[in-house]
Amino acid sequence: MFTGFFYYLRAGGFSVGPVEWMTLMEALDQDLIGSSLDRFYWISRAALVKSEVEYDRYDQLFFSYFREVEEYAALSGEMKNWLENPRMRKTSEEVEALPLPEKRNLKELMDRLSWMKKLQEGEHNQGNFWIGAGGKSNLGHSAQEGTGLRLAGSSKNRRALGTCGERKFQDFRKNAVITSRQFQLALRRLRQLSEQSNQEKSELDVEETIRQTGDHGGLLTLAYRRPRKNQIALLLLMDCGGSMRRHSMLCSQLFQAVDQSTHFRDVKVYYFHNCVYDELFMDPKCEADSAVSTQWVLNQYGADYRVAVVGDGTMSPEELFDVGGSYQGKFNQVAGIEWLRRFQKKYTHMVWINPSLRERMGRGFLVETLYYLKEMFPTYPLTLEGLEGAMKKLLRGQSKE
Amino acid sequence: MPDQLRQTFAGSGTYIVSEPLMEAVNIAIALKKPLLLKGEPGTGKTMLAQAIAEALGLRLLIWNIKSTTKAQEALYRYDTVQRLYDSQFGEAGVDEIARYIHPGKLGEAFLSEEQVVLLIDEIDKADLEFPNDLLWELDQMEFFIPETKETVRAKHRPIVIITSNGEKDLPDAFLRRCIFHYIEFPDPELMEEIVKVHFPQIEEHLLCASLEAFYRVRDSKGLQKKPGTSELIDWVRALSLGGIPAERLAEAIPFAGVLLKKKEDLAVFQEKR
Repeated sequence: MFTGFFYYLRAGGFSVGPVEWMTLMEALDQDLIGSSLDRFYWISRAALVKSEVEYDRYDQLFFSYFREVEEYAALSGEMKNWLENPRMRKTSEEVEALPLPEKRNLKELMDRLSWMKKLQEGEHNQGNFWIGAGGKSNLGHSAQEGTGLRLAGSSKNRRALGTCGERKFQDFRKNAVITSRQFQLALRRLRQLSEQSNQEKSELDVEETIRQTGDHGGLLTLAYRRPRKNQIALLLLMDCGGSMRRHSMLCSQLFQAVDQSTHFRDVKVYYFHNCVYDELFMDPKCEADSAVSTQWVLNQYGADYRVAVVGDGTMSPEELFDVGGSYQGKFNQVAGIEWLRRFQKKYTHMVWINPSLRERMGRGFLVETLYYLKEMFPTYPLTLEGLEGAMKKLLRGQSKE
Repeated sequence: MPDQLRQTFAGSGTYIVSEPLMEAVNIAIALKKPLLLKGEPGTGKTMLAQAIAEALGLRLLIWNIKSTTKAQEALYRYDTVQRLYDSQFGEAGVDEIARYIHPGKLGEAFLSEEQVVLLIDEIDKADLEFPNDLLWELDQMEFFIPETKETVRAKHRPIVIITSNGEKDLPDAFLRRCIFHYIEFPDPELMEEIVKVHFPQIEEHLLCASLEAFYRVRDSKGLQKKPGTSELIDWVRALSLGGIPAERLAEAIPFAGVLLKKKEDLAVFQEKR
């Protein structure tokens, strides 16, 4: 039953699994949905969708699937036009005579629709049977009985199934622009509460001590456990180059989120200008007084640090590939690309977060470097979804997908 | 079996429920699955469980989750300290471990002679793995106590309502087993009904004016904490007690402190005026 819809949802990138699908089937089986289309939409959404960020995608897929079924597109332009701009008309008697099916279900409704489309000629409003606006027919829109399928139009009586066409939940989509709080939530993914087996059992386990003491008839028996702490330390390298100015709001939100995150073992933030060269900076202005040697940074932080580079990766090729390619600050003895390779070699958990990927990628020589870097590092856009992906990657490490 | 009787929920005297939410509640009850509710604070997630319990005439058990809560606490607690203490003094019955086993909220719900509504409030506050630890118990409605080698099985499957503020994502395996509903912030129409339930005597004029002012405040940009339903209700109460004429609401927001709880928000709002 409706299996086509299941695969349609999956094909549309909506992650619905058999467990959820069986829940819906069970509901159909127990006749909990009855024959109401409104309820089918609500109940299927409750059973299949597990997050409000997915509501919009589901609505779109639902709408387009059932629109496909009814071949809305195939309706003549004139009819579409008339459905969207209803002019109320008198009921015509000859159609009143035809019986209305008692029990309506989706398939029946769809069948009726395609059958009537063939039959119907001209406009029809206020009727109880034909496709049209107003009246009691279950096809068309603004129907009073409200268990029908609405073909576009606005929801006058707020009852029609087609509300999913309105995309009310658009705001929740994961690729929308994000706030600092949402960043923080995404960063929280990056935690590995571990009782690492290579650690010593150094914490007194009070519960277990009491339990064992009780078991030994009151003879004190101490029990120890390994400390459970987030083992993850983060090294954040942020580009403050000119082309990054467009993204400064977003980046400062990310910085704030990182700064406020208390769950990391350690967080270090360094800045660079367009590309990583011989020096990194403690301050986003990238001035000489806040410079530290990049080699020192590499030596300082162990290979277990997770490294996230935030930058748009757009620069001229010589800035990336050439010795002395840095057009600002000191002459660099080592090419930017070599520094990046050194980072990559040391840190097995490293990602590139690119704010400009949110937009359509440009053309031209500046983007060449971006493509090159994308090949080199796992790259994610600076969106909520992208950041979540990046955090997962940082947690998981280098294993190829 | 009385459980088989189809229980349906259609809101209660003091709780107005939107149709999609009602369907979600009823489907969760009928399919015996936990209902997971998400939504802005102040949309009545916690209230819903109370309303369901009230409407169906069942007892409500509330399990408030904190950041330190462990899944085990819901099942039972083995009072080892008391046992240790008793053992020092040779108290009789120390050998009888069952004496020191105390059921948690889920245990209580399972052992209850009547069906109960169990509210697991703010599940997202706990550790990331927390919901996974409850999967088996919520699915099978039973758990095993190794200390006494006993299996506790639900006498009547409780109606489980879970709320989340979305601070953490819940694990997929857990989500798959739940019926999910996101409570939207009520639109003005629904809000009107909600306010009327609390103030049946309210003048139409004042109601319209206060709702309009409320949504104006809510929609103003840059608020850190948007006022919710409970703030609105308090505010309407303050307005009617203070005898504020409806006309005044068009230009000013009296008692703005009732609606806006953050100092910054109040400042933003006063600046705008």
